[in-house]
Amino acid sequence: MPLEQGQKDPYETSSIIHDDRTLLELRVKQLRHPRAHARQPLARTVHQVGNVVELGRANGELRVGSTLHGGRIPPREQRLYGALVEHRLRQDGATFRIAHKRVDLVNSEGELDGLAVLL
Amino acid sequence: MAVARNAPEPGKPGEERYYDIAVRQMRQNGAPDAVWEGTGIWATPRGHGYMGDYHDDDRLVAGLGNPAFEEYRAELIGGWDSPSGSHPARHALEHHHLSNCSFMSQFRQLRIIQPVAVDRSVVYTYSFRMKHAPARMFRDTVAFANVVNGTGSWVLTDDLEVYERIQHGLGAGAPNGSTSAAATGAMSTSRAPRGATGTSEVFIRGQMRAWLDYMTRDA
Repeated sequence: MPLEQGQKDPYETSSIIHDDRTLLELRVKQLRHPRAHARQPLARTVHQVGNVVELGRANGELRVGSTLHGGRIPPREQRLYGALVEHRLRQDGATFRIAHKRVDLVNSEGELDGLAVLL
Repeated sequence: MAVARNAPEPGKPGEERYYDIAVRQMRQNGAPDAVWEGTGIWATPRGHGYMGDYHDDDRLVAGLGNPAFEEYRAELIGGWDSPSGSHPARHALEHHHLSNCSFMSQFRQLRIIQPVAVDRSVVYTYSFRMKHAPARMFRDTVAFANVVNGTGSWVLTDDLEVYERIQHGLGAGAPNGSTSAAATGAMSTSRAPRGATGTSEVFIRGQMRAWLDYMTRDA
């Protein structure tokens, strides 16, 4: 989840979230951990995905773009997010697995509250 | 912390992976009591307080043996080997904490805390790309900023949620008061007395003393 629009390189520019596979797994474990008191109660979320389009194929991966509207209810106020999303998918038998996911929030450079959930 | 303790072990110097900095940072937050008790805390006569750094180079493993850091240290210090550590460049590699700012030299980051009201502050964070430093150093700087300062940071979101809940509870008006107490332990009598341990409330008493002085000076 880049901080700046059009981010070219996540290693040279700060991100709102930039997780590799290990960090992604740890983030999920953290959310579910019974002693992660600041994460409780778990936020309730809703995701609406639309405008799914194939962007191309390269290096054995399928690039898919979509729009995302997400909402979450933390302990207090409701938050709404809008984003353009790109998935890179790898075929696995009759289905696909996500190799990479990029979420560009439309207001990524604006003032945001802590984002403790995955969109 | 519990999750980070069960995470894969960070790589050895030169074999680091992207997630290492995140895992190390979260583990560090679980410093044992002895580390906190051994951290210096001081209070000044006019109510300010400041605390030593609980980080050290042994705990920030990347600082010792990290090839990029060592390369840059050699670039800065060269053959300087003064036991007094007075070479100006050496200070750029150490941690300095003032009352409202902290310099995390390990990751080339400066934080300045600006109080804007009695119940809120603004924290400005500056990350630096050092001249003549290996490219890897700046990548570590960015990774550290993502982990510690980012809007989706593992560390920051937890901290802010705790602060917000405390603020929300105190602001509700329901509690009669809050209690924050810890022993001061033996204090020196210098102008900036130091608490006996890192959890001393010497700074709270310093604030109360300064407040009392301001309120009664002309009485």
